[in-house]
Amino acid sequence: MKVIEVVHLVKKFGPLKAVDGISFAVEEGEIFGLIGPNGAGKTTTLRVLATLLTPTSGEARVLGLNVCKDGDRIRNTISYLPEEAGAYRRLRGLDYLNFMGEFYAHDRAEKQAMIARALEVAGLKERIRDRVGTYSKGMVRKLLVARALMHDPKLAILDEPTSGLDVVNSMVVRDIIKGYARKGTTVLLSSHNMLEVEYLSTRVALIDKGLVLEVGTPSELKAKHAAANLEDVFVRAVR
Amino acid sequence: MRKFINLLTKELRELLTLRVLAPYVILVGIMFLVGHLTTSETKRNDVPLIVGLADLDSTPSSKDLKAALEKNDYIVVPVNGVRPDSLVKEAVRGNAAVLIIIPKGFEQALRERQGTVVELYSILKTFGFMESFKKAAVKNILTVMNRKLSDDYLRELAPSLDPATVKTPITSRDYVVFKGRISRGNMEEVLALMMGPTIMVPIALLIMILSTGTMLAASIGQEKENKTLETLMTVPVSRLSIVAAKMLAPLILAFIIAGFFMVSMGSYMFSLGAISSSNPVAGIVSQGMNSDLGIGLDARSDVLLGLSIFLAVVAALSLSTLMALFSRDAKDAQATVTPLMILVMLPYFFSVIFDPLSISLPLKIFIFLIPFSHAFFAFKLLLLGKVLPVVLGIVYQAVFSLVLLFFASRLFTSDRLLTMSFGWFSRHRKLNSVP
Repeated sequence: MKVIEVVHLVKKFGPLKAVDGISFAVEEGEIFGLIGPNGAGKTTTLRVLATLLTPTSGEARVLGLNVCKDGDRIRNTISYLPEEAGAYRRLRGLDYLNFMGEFYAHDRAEKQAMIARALEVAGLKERIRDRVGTYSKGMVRKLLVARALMHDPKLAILDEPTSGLDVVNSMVVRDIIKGYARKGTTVLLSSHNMLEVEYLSTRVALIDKGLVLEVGTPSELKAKHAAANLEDVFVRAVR
Repeated sequence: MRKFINLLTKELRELLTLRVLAPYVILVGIMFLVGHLTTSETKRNDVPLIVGLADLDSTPSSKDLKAALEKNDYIVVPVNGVRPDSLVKEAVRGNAAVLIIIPKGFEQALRERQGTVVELYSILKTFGFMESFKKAAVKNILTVMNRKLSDDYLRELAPSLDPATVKTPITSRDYVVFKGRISRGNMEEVLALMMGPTIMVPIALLIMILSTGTMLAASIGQEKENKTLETLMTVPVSRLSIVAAKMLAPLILAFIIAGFFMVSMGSYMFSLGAISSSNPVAGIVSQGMNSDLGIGLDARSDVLLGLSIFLAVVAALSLSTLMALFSRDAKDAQATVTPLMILVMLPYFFSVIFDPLSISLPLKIFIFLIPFSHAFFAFKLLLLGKVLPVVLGIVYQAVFSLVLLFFASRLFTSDRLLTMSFGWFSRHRKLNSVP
């Protein structure tokens, strides 16, 4: 089953074409990585799929629903983690998770289960009772990753999920993402870190200047370009 | 509804902090303290004035003046000496507020029916507010002395006549007419009676509008600055609920702040009222006038005033929302409410200076185009029984708010929320705003 279908998607900001007719599809349970330099159109694509931006032309579907017409229904089943996201500084970590869980849970027991999952993912221990304003950048990021995964979304859209995390915490978060994918969550992620995408993704799309250059599994792309890693693949694809 | 309450609770938790509420709690305490200090200081100063009397004439006439002053509640302290500077020094030592020097030949001049001059030194000790209370008492000294002497003349010339009737054959019995109702009293008393509410209502409104507008703009600005808005927009809750919760939270806080203000001003005015009620006759007359003239609002007027104030705050919130949506961060958002401040300060000053019924038509149109003006003038209009202008004002405020809310909600549900800012015209900022 296709969780994401993007067909000739174009998004313009005034005269600037951020996304220039890209197409790709993501199957259920996949971890699909978008890789490309700054300004390639990755975040714009993610924002369209997260129902934050409306396409200028083309089509984007999530779980068969149109992002323009079915925004409310799509938001019930996805989660989106923006690259530079923050949490409410005056709330305590636990209160933040409680606040977010309230939007997804149907009853108290379900919300408690979500919070329990989030506490496990965040791994903030006693600090979860402190105000978010006292957290380090890495702690905030872990809280946000936990928030994004707490309700077992059908599709998790993660923009630079390990941004601001140290090496150890980045590895922990990557394993958590893989674990969720194994349980059936489809993941669409973007990253500058091509080695991270290579480690995580079942398939990747190389994006540059609003265009998809290549789509395939990391092994396929490496073989096609006779490259040692995705960084080399990208450099060769751009040339 | 559960999701909306969740949003509203979060907004209130962010707004209702000790840091926000503490100044208002302190304000209540300060105003209460100031009120009581004013009362106690006034009572302390409400003692008979000490008058130093240097009687250089020492005749029965000059001694009669001393008795007349004492009869009029002055404490007369004899001051001995010859030269004015030594007399002043002694009067100061005797804690006198005034020194009167009755010159030699005082009685002789009176006997010859010639005018005479007494020297009156006001001894200024501070420039405090309480000193001004002594002014009237000092001024009254000459009146007391002249009345005594002129009464004596008249009794001598026409023993069968009452001097008071000769000097003031006409006295007045004052009435005030308001909305066809008549009461004993004069205009000053009515105006003094209405001073409290006509000052307090506009100030409370000013505080409510400015505080709600600023809080809402800051809240939206912080969502943008802290990058929380983007996440909030992707959770399963309607975007109108997000806007509504954002608007309702400062509205609730504004009413709490206004409550604090009314309590603090009330306690202050109460203590000032206690001062004026030290004159029991004035107190009774004022209370009687209030009911006789029907000054005050009936239940219908109360509802209209409340509705007008409520809609003024909603209009301010709508305008703030619209302006703050263009901001990039909290600082930007604070700057965007500057036009709101101007639009609120203008009617506030107009309502203090002008009477809504007597201003010229062009000025009236200008003032009432500002939606907040209607609330500022509503209290005065309702007191005067002018219901129609208030109702029309409420309709205008409602339409104004609805139009702004429509545009604000359209912006909130569009992707322009994440891409627009006041920096449109700057290429640098525009490029930065592209995701």
